[in-house]
Amino acid sequence: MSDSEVNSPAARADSGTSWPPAELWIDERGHRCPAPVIALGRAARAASEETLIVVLADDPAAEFDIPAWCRMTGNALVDSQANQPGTAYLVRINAR
Amino acid sequence: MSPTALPHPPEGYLDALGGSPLLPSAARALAAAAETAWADPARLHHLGRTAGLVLDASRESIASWLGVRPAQVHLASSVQAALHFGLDGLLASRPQGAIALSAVESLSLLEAADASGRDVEILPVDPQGRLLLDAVPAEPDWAVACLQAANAEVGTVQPVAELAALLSGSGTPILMDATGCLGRMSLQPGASALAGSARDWGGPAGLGILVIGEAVAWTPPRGSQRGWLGGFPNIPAAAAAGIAAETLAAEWRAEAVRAHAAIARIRDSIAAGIPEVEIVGDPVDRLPHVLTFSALYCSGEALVSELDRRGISVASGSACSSDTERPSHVLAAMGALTGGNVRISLPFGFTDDTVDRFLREIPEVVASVRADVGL
Repeated sequence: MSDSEVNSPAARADSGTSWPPAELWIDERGHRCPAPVIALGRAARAASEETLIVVLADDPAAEFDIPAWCRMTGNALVDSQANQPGTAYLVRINAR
Repeated sequence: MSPTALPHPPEGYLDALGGSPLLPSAARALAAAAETAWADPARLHHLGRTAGLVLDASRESIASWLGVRPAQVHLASSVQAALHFGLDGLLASRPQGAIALSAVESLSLLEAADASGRDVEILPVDPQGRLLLDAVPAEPDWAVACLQAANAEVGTVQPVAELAALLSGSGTPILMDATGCLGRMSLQPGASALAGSARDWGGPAGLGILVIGEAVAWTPPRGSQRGWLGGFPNIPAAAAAGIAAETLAAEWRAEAVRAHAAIARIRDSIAAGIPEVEIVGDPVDRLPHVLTFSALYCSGEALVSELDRRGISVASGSACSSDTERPSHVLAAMGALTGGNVRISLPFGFTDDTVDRFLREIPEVVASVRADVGL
């Protein structure tokens, strides 16, 4: 988890999404379940409300677990886009 | 409950779906049949006849318990084999049409459908894992529909009787997988064929059953003899399964009531005592002995290992705790959290002490796994 790249310029550069700029980028590509959700949970606790977070993940479980995290914690999954490799998730922080 | 009829599983053992001790009567029958009933039941000599009679008696005991005729009960080496023989035999009698399956059927059955060469229609489930009956077309062009009696992973009972009513016009047969269910719940009517495992009712591994409804067109596999499908019969396992069915017939209802109450207690305790946990499956209309939940920020592997260190054995459907590196397809189809998953299933003869011990340990285990990652 310590090598999770929060706000990595590389992650922004090759996210491949059409979204407007988000405040936080988390690159969890190459990390297995539950690392992407742990990174998202940590970032959310440090973020203020209305913060937009992009998570890049290619673990198969992230497809189910990032939406589940949003539902369980009262945050919003705004959008997701296929992204090579994996998927980019756009999350808005409503609660911490 | 008669105290000697049920087994005494080890304290802390909560993975009945992964395996259970034999009923004592089944263990005795297994040993006795291994001594006396090893000959080929197709032979005409007296040892062959003895083996054949043991096989017949097993089918009679299972049939009597399930309320069917012995000729309707076929035996096989596993529930997976029984399901495959069931599916193939129903398809052989229906040359046209797709196979429809709920998204939460066993992977073995989903793969068999894919390999059949027929079109496959996957029917969606609701967030509790129950088949969405709205997804059934008015006039389906299906050769076979597959729906489990209940989902063994999350416990939710499936609407088999309602599906049968919807399919009565088209005459589509239902193949019902009763894995995890026999000896635990009353089966709904409406299935044309059912498959089950003797492991579920206190019998041995290596014994599956396939029960074919009266007047259902089904083609048995080649090489079947005396009710055993595919290969040489495992007569000691059949003998043990038959005795287990006779024993459990008098025991299972009381044990189901006890298990249902214990799972309700565990469910309430986890919901009240552990934050950021999702308990999945129907809270009431469920298998009595099964509970599945997922905890955020935990790996299933870490939860299973830490519980094991504390003397408690559970299963998990998380990707990191399986050998497939894929999360449970059941949790995925339900849209549930797949990480940090714990599945418990109460064995016959479980004790309240084991339940209490689990409830004491699980909040600490979840908290310690989360603390390891700073959450």
